[in-house]
Amino acid sequence: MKIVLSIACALASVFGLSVRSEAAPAGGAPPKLALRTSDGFSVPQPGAVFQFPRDHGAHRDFKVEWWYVTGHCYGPAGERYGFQSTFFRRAVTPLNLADKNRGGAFSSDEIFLSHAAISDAVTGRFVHSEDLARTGWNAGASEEGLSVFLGQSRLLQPDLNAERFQLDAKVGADSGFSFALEPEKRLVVFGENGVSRKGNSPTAASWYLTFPRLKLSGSLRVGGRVVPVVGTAWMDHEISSSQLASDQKGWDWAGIQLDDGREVMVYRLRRNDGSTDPASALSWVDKQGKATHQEAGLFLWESAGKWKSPLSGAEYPIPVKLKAVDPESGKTVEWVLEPLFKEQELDGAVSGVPYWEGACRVLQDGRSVGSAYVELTGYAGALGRALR
Amino acid sequence: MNGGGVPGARTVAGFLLRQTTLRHWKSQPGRFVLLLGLLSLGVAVFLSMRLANRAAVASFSSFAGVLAQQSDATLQARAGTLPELFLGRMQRALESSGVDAGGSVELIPVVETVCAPLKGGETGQIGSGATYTVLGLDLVALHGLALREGLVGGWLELDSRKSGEGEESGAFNVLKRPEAVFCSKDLAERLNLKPGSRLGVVMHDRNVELEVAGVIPWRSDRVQAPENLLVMDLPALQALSGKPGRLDRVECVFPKAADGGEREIWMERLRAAAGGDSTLRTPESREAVGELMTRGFRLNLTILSMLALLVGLYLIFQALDAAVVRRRAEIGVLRALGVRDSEVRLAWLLEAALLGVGGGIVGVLGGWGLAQFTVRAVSKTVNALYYATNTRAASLHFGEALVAFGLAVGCSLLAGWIPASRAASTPPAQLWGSGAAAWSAPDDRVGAKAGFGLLVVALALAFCPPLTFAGGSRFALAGYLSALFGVIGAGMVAGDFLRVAAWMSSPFSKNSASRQIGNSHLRTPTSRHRWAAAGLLCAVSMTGGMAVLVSSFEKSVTEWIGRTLHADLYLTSNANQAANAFNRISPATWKAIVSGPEVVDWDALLMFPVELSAKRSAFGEADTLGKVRLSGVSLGFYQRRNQFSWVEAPKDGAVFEVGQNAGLCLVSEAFAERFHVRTRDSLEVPVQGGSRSLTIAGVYTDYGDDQGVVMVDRVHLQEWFQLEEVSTLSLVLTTGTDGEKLRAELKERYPGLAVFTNVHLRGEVMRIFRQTFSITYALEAIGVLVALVGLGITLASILAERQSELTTLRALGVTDGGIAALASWEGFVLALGGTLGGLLTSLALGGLLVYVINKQTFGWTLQLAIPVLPLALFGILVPLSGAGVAYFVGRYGADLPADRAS
Amino acid sequence: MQATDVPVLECDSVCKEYGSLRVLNGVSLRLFAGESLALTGPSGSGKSTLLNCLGGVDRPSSGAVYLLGEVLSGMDGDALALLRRRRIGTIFQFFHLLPTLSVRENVEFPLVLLGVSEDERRARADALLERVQIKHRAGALPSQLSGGEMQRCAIARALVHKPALLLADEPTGNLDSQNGANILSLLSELTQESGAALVLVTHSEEAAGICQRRGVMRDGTLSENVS
Repeated sequence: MKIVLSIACALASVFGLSVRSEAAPAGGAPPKLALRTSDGFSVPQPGAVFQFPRDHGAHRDFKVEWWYVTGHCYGPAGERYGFQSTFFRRAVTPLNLADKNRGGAFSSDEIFLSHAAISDAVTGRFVHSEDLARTGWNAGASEEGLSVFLGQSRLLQPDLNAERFQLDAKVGADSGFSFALEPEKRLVVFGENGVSRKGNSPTAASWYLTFPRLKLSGSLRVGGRVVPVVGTAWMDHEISSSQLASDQKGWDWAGIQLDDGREVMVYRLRRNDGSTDPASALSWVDKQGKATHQEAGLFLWESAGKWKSPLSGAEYPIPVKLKAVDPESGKTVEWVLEPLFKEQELDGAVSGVPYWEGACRVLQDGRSVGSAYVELTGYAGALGRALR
Repeated sequence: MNGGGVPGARTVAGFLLRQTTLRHWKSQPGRFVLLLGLLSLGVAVFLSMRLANRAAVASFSSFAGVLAQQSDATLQARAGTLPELFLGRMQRALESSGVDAGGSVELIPVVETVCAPLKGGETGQIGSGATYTVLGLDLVALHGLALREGLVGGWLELDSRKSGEGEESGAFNVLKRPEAVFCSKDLAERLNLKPGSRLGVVMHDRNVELEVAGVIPWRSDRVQAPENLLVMDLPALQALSGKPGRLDRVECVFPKAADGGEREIWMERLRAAAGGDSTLRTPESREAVGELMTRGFRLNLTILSMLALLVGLYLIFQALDAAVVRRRAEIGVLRALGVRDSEVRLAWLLEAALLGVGGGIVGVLGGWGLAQFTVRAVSKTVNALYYATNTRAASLHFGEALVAFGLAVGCSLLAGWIPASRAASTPPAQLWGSGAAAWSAPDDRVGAKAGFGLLVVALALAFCPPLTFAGGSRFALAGYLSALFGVIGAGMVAGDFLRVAAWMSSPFSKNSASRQIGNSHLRTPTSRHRWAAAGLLCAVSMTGGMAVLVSSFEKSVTEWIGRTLHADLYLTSNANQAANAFNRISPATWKAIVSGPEVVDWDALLMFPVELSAKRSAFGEADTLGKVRLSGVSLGFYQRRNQFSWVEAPKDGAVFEVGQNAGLCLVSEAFAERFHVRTRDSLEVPVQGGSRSLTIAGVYTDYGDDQGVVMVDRVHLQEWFQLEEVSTLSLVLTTGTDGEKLRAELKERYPGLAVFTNVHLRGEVMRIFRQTFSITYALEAIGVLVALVGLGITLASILAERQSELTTLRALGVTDGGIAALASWEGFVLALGGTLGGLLTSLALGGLLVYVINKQTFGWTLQLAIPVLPLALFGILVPLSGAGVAYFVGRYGADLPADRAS
Repeated sequence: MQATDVPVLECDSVCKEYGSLRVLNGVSLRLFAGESLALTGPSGSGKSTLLNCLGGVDRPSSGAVYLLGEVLSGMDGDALALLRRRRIGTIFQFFHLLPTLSVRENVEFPLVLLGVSEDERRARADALLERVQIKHRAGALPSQLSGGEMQRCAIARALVHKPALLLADEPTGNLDSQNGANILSLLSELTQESGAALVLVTHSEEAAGICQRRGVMRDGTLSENVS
């Protein structure tokens, strides 16, 4: 039933019927997606056809965009590290109102925020940093292909004819990493019909493009040591113009890379009243890179413990217990996503939003079956403020 | 039984201090308070000048430290502005390879402008209007930085104003409002500004209405933003101040962990990345620029303030000496009872030290209070002559207070040394024998010979060159020493002046007993007489010398203005209230103005501050840079209309022809002195994005500047800097045009401009010059006052010495009034001697000030002008005042034995 | 009193000249402990000058002065001061009390200079003040005393440190006859009690009468009548 309705919506939008109103219906299927938000930005539509390498780049017409790379890597002696690097683009003025003449070194139309973190499992140390800059000489993203930078951190596709990426990130004054990334699987577009719905609102949607598994090699510097590393990364690129509705408190997300060559992406949207938003979803990616989308009812996200952050006072529900249905076997699988160590919270000094983002082991019946990155947001104050 | 336990000198001295000195003070508190008061006055004046100097210089330093973090280095173009592209280039050049390098340099671009608050109505005085320093900073980067440092709310969230329907409210909205500005807490309180309030300013030639977005956030552990600081988003200020795509400077912050060696490496890398058209400075050297610029001015002030301290020292000496006389009998008894020389000396030195401590404490507190007033005067002058500052308060700097306190104690000890020695050498002999005659102190004849020696040294010093600092600023140390030695030497010869004075006045004393007695003492003046005369001579000569300098200045400047200011109307931006405000008039505006029907001839001046290397400074390093002004005018106009005052005139007229003068320039006298250049020398002058080689065609006089001016034809300058704006306009009007009327019209049409008539401008220039000297007048007045008080104290002690003589006179039937007349005459002649000597010395001192000190410090040639009438008046008033003081002393202060209880 | 061989005071052909003026012309004398000598003579005869030399306050042009066997001319200023402190007591015609010190403090002063403890000072001063009958004025300042009271205080001060030599310069010169007589008898008693040698300069016959010996100064020479 649901599937029919979604297709109907998709067809309707293809034929140009759009929903202007943003009011969420009382219940049932989410309303049709609007074409533009009330402040003039485009809304990602289903059935979009992406062209690469161009669509790895920025989409100026949309308000919020991020490129997000996480991963696990190992030094020559087997030392384990986790890392995260995120570049957020936030448009202040819609494209049609932007001051076209005021390009130059200081644009007022767009802001960039970068996060970077290293989890050093050897010492149990977590280093992270945030940076804020306007588009101009110190930050920017190309619309022709992947080339986003803020300060001296950057993510780019050095050769537009080859699908390989370079990630250089500075984490604070004396840490950082420099990785060459090569996709081991093709790009996945999550969501039904290419759109990932995030709630009941007609503008709450995103295009969610992911390389769920990339080969990583390079070097990492932390605690005064420079270590050559190899490992596996996960790269997300999300494009949207609005993320959370007013009745949503935050989300929990995980990107899981199983040892059997499959991946799982899951996000659970939490409502203010504590319930799970039906827009939450889980996707399996098989060895060939085909994604299977599962709705909220088919998986269960629970906490297997709590950790209170001494910095923000937030209580994060880690480790995570995740129950899902394996589409290949049809059986229910239960994993425990266990952090390498608990203190992996980004304090959000600049964005104003502390959240937990950490490297985890995936345990099934006590055995390690893979690695994951888990993101828990909205446990310390309202998340929506920064993203609304 | 009389044991060997003789107490040490300190114990005895301490005992004497407690049981005699302090009790004397307690019984005559008035004397003690007066002395303390005068010493503390000297200390207060000195300290207040030092604090005011500090405050005025402190305001120059970079404001970036207040807002973000203290930068480690500043990049600036040698001339003009830096292009925005510079940033990306720097960033790439500084990139560390991958993860290997530790840390990176943070680059903070800055645009800076000086503007003035909008004032309706008449153009006020130049240089006295308040100014705002507006900094254009990347608010987004600043916001991030503030948040990272834990400043709750950062910058942008302060803008809590809700915008209209359908618009974005919240964090980044302020970026979309090009007139949004952040102000300081003090300004917000003073003008009652809230988010949304309008703030009108004059920027360049326009009135601009800014909108207050909030108050500059600050951390309690950092210095507060100065009141006149405004902060805008960088691109907004670029647009408003006509600098699209340009930056004034880039502040660089090194990684926190960088130690000394690493910082050097970063400096090198920055230099290499920046290239030759920009300069790299550390904050210390940046502050040093402001400090250097005003060093000459501030040192002059400090010297003058030391006059107050010296005079205090002199007073202490006189007073302590008088006290020794008064307590001579007591000292004699103590000596007879077996108190040793050293114990007596120590007791008196302790007394001097206590005075110093008391005077020091009171003086420091008083100095702090006084500084609040002097700082306004000093900063007004600095503002008018050097750079924007309107510091209103001076804080008590511990180091300066310590120096002032130390000086108070040191001076007291120094001043007390001779009296203490005199006391220690008081023999007990005179107490035996009923006919013990009044014993007078051995007369030290050191004076005259040493005095002449000092005068010779002073003469030699007058020919020495000045001390040169990095950056070309000069200090006439030898000149000041010459003045000091000259005055002291003349003082030591003062006794001979007394003889002259006594000789001159003897015809007037033939028929008066008291006058005869008074004169007789002066024919053989005691050392006490000499000291009093010396003090007066000092004060009179300094006052007279300054008067000569000031009148020479006035004459020179008046003639200079008469020669050079010929236009009928002068126009500039209303925002140019400070010497470093380079607001300009846009081409549209000035072209419209000069094409008006009433304008028969016109000139426009364009100027830039540039950094020049002082290649040939005597003591500086090879690459020291000095700030000078690069001015462009129509040299042909100048030749037509203004008469240059030449120090070295050009050999031919090539420099006045646009077609021939592209490689030629004229320099001001101050420039030539500072950089040791003359006609035919060549200069490398930085311009936008490069430099030009110019040959000096002539050197001219310019009293409006002490830093140095390089003058070229404006046409070329506009080309080199690629802009058509101008800084000031001079208009010559058709005969019969009503200048005032046209002025009013122009002001109405262009409210952002200040328009001056010729008369008004001349008046303004003189007013600024007088303002510069206002502080010296005050200090001189204090000097003379204190010298007169010293005279009074001296006379009191002289009279106290002559008790038996006075008693005899009383016995012979002389009345109280008669004794007062005697004292008065003696005081009159004493003062006359000191004044005569002082006036003579002042002429020499004036010449020294004009031809040596002024020339060496500022580089100006002045014409000597002696203010005959004021000096003559002075020469009459001082002796009369001396007579008056002496009369008062003779009447009430003689302390004769008959007045004491028997 | 033990008579010793060493005289307290000895002058040996002391001469003093001021320029061409000869004020003392070969004065010699000897004074033992307990002896008293009155010096009389007209004004200008050199009495005061001699007193200055005896007290170590002035130096003879030739000849020597010995105090308890030590020659004064070999001493520097400090040594002379210490000598005065320990060995000599002085009484002036014009009293010369320290104006800011009370009566008691004036009397204690010589003991302060000798490092005597506070308690002992007080005891000794009080004893003497009692003896000279002005203990009831112990706290007064000199400006509040009568002439007689001041001189009593001066006497007490001159004797409190038990000097070997007492020099008195016209002690009654500024007092009326009644007071003067009292002072003289007090001086006589106390001197004998203390055993000090006394040199008394005076014009008064009465004053001279309290001394055992009498010397006359005339034109710089001293002649003694053996009494």
